[in-house]
Amino acid sequence: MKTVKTRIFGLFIILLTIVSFSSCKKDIETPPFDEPHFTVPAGATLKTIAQMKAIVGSSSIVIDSNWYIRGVVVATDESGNYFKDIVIQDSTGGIDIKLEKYSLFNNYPLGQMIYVNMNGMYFSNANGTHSLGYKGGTGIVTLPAIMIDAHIFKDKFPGPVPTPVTLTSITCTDNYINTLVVFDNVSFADAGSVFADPLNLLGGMTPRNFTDTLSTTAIILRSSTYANFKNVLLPSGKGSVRGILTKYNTSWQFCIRDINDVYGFAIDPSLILTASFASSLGGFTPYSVTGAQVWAWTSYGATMSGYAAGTYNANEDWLISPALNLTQHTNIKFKFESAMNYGTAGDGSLKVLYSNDYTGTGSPAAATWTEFPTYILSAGAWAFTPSGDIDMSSIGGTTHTYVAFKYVCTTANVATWELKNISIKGQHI
Amino acid sequence: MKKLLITCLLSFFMLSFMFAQQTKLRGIVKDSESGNPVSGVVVKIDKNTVVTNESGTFEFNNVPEGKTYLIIDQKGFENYSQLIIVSGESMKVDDIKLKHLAEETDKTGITEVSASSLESDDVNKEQGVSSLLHSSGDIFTSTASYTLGAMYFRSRGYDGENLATYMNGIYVNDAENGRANWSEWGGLNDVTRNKESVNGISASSFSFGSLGGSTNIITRASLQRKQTKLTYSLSNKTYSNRLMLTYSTGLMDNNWAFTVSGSRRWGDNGYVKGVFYDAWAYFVSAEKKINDHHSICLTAFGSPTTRGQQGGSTQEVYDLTGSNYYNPNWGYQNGEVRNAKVKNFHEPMIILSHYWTIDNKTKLTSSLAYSFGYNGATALNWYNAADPRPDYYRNLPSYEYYISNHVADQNVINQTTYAWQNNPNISQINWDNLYQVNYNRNLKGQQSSYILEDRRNDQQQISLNMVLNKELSGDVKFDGGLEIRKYTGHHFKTISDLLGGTFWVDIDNFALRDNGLNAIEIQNDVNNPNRVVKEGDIFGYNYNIYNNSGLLWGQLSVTANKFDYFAALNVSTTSFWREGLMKNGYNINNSFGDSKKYSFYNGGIKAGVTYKINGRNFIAVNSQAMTRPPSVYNSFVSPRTRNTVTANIQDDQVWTADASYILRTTFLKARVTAYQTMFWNQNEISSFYHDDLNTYVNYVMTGIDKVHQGIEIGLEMKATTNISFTGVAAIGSYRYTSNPLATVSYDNHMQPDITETVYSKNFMINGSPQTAGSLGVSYRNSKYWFFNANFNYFGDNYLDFNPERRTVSAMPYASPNDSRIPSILNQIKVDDGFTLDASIGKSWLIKKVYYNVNFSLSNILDNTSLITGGYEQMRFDFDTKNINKFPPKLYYGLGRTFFLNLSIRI
Repeated sequence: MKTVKTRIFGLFIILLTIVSFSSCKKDIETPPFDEPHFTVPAGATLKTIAQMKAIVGSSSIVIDSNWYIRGVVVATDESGNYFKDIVIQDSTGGIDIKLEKYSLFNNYPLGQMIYVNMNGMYFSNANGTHSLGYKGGTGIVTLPAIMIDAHIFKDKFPGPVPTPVTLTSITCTDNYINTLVVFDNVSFADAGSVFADPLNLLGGMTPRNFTDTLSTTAIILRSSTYANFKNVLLPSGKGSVRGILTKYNTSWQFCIRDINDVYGFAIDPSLILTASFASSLGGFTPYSVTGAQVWAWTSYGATMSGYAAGTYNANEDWLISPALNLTQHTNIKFKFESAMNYGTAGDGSLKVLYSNDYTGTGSPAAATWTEFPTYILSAGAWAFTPSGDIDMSSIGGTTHTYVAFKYVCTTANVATWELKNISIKGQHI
Repeated sequence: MKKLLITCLLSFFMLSFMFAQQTKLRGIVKDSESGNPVSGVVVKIDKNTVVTNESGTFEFNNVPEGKTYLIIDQKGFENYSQLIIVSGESMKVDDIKLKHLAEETDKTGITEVSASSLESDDVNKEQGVSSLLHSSGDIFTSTASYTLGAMYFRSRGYDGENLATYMNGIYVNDAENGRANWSEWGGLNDVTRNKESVNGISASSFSFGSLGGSTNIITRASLQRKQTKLTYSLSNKTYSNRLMLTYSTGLMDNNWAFTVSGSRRWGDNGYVKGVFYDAWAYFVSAEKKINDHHSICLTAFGSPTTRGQQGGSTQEVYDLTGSNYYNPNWGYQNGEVRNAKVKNFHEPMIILSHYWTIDNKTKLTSSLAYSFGYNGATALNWYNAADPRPDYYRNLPSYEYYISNHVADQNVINQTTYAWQNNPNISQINWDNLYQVNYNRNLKGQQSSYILEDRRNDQQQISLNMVLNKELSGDVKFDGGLEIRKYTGHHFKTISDLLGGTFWVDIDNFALRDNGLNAIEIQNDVNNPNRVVKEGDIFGYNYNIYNNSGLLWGQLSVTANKFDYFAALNVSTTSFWREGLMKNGYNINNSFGDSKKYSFYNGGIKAGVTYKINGRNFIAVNSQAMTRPPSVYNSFVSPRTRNTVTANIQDDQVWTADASYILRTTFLKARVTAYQTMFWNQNEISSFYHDDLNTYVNYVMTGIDKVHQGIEIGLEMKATTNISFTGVAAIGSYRYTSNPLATVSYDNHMQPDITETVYSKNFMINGSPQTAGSLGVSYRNSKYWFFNANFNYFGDNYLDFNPERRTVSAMPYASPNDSRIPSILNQIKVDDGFTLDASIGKSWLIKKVYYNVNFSLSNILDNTSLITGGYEQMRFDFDTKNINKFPPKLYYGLGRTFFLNLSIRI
């Protein structure tokens, strides 16, 4: 009997060994990053974008020849400002290509060289601007998803995006249509308004005028309410705007690709308060309720910790702003950056409060302070974290409103906090 | 109510004394070949059952006078029955020698492989086999569980939460959705064979019981058959191979008993492509008999499993791919099949049991159990990228018809159809492209566009269970007990695979599009904003569900000459709450920390009487009424993001009654039962992703009332000593009897909550055929051959309906006679269908070693058009009111499959 049992066990072990080796679910290999390569096939013709625009002229045609164009992707749908289209340009010009797919930037990122087999595609001219897509019942539509891989080919890894041409005046030629350009030293007529407003749409986009460098002609900046920067305020002052130049009949229009295309504006719009804490506490007042340690300036910004000389000390310390006049603005946004270490995320060791009845001096305990309902603090590891926009429009602000950072620690839990880049902005009434 | 109950209980006590009479009957059950005693055999006299102990001995303490049958209907042995004339004095029957049968195909194995739960993004829409493995001598119940259950038939239409499962007395149904998860002990078939089962609401000696019945799996080592057994199985269902080894000592001279069992089930592709399987299982049980009064048993088991899941799709996709078993979950990566939806779990359980025989009339069984482990299911997630699912509706040829302001282009339809039929990069997930996209992102130092996430529900549970079985007098028995459990379910997501990318940022990508950059709403965790996460890190959501409960129950049963009675009662308390571990940007004040604690006090009563017309004919009537706490799953509106519960968080109520006629002769066994069950005040929550609104939509229905009524028939006829016929029929009607209120809430608050009436009264309840039947024949001979075949019929099966379509707002406003109205309102009934199953087997006994081979074929006629279930998509196109834009997702029963089982046993 014993021998049979031993044999059964033996058999089991043998079988198990076999199965363990034979049929382990192998990890599937990670695919390599393949550099795409494309050359125009024999018998086909590579055209420049300018040649194509000249051939098509003011008409719209379905291409029935073996013609290709190529270009580098200069605008994508990544921020949501473009939707189902990308813009490519070669040395002669640029063109918008309409493709029936979301998130095209994933496959055709900025700087990607692509070849387009135009045979069967629709090269249209609508309102003075050419675009490439598919012939639908009523005009140009996006190239159906299923056809994209038969018409669009990638060549090489994405490279740098062509340097934008700096334009000083919009009195330029149509060659710049659908190419990447930049205007320096421009200003927005609607500074302080959001980029895209669902109540202010023209052709699906919000028009915002800016004036070109020579202050001759207004250019319409068009932004989508699907863009991730839709709620950002248009800056005031003067700066640069980079993006794709377009034209609707005789009117010049402009699309930025993402918010980084608007830069260099010297003065933020309608600044109520700014304190970078780059070199001082910039008008903020420290006030110590308990403990010897106080808010102080360091090279990291305004800094506070209950830790000193190897000892943990219980502290309550306030850092109070100068008086703010909030009666002249609407849409007031307060923001700052914080960094923390040695504490626990969400432990309440730092709170951000406001008061409408603080006298400006003395103990904050004499006034009523209310914590802002929502703001983001650093979770630790010295990571400077933006607070997000804290709304101050609805707090009933007066001519003497104060904001304060309140630090608390016990002898057991002692966090260190650093603050910088405080700003309060609003739209002038 | 209370008074009535007390009166009832008292009168049972009174009756018990009237019929007090002590007639004992004892005997020993032995194996006819080896002569060894057989433990764990269920012996029946009338309605009483006892189980033989480790020395094969059974004893009835009270047997009514007169003629009666002693019946043994034990799996693996020939049926045994013996006429006994009880004179009123205690007696001992001659040793009973049970003859081994050819070992039948292990049906739990077959059902297990068929029963891969079909995955859906919404747990409520998943198709799972919940009623299976409900072993019982009753032909209706066993056929319903195994044969019909393989095609998702559920007895009386009950959901899994109405079937209670116990493991050594420990209640193991899930503390959140109420359903037992059988896969936690998958692959341990040899050691989970000993079961006590209760049909429906009959009297139970181990629990108060549930509506659809209760099963207690007894794993104690002393009751395991003494054996060494090696099994190998081959199948083409979900796994291809199974190897099992079990070694059991039985109770040894030193009063120890040990059982160990281990197995592996594996396969690269099941019947459905992409459904791979890799599951191990282990089981250890050690029992020490301290003395005649005390035994202690420690059992530990687990089943670490990884398996690919099947997903349902629409008929358009099945037709395009030419297969009703198309699985959208897999695709090629580097030329190899990879499944995106993989279940990964290991939830070990440790049970310490104490068996205390206080005296020959009193037994106290106590068990303490701890279970823990992980349970995850992977899925693709994407940020600012195209939907990677191949059967996303915009990727199908039909989408061409549903683009607004667009004339369908036949060229596009043709090209899409061609690609679906010829290009696996279109018809399946294109993993290689997902990697290329992420590589492009790496070049710019940006986050992955596509990742594979693991949605986890790691549960921890401590349970204490005590059961007292006490004979108060000869004919009166008391059973009662206590069930306490403390449960924590930790729900979170981790990154399983960055798919070639380098990191992911923990923000809500849907909220980003709605709210723009810098908005606090985009933060999944405001306490850790814009957190960079990598593989293994928790992200997205993170919360605990706590559910603590205690239950006391008691039952009195009286056995008398003509009547048996029982009455039972339970009281329970339940308390559950959510603890948010992230502060969700949309729900700053309502997501972090503990929610309110929701506590419920509930109770139930049940009673039954059996009239014994004579030893062969019985009439039994049972009824039960109870209140139950709402399930956690149907209480929190969107537990991923907030503490909000349904507006109507309160008990539901259940009442049920059944009446049976039972015939039991050596030639014919039959049962006919009529039943009715009413549910009141239930809640149901469904969530789905709405890609136009970029948000999860939660659909909460409250005030759901239902009725389940029908007839069950089971017949078993022994035509000759070798041949018997079985017939089983279930004719039911399960339907909604109210028009519930539905509240639709959007996780991104893009639209205000809407509350409206769902006109679903008289809609049929989905999830099971409401009519089913099976005709069977079985042959077995003394040379250990067996053969059986079953012809099965399934009818009146309905798809789950989308409540939103049965509201006023879904109606086309043009005219009340709009021809679209019926198509929007009508519930979809699927076609009736049939299957034919058969199995054949033989055993050999050579030099005291048993060899066993059996082979079974399911759905021999290869009926591949049997829809077992499905659901209407929750999305409805309110603009066009065209129901075909989002057609239902369907599940088909498997075509012809086989299961081959080989075993050696000594």
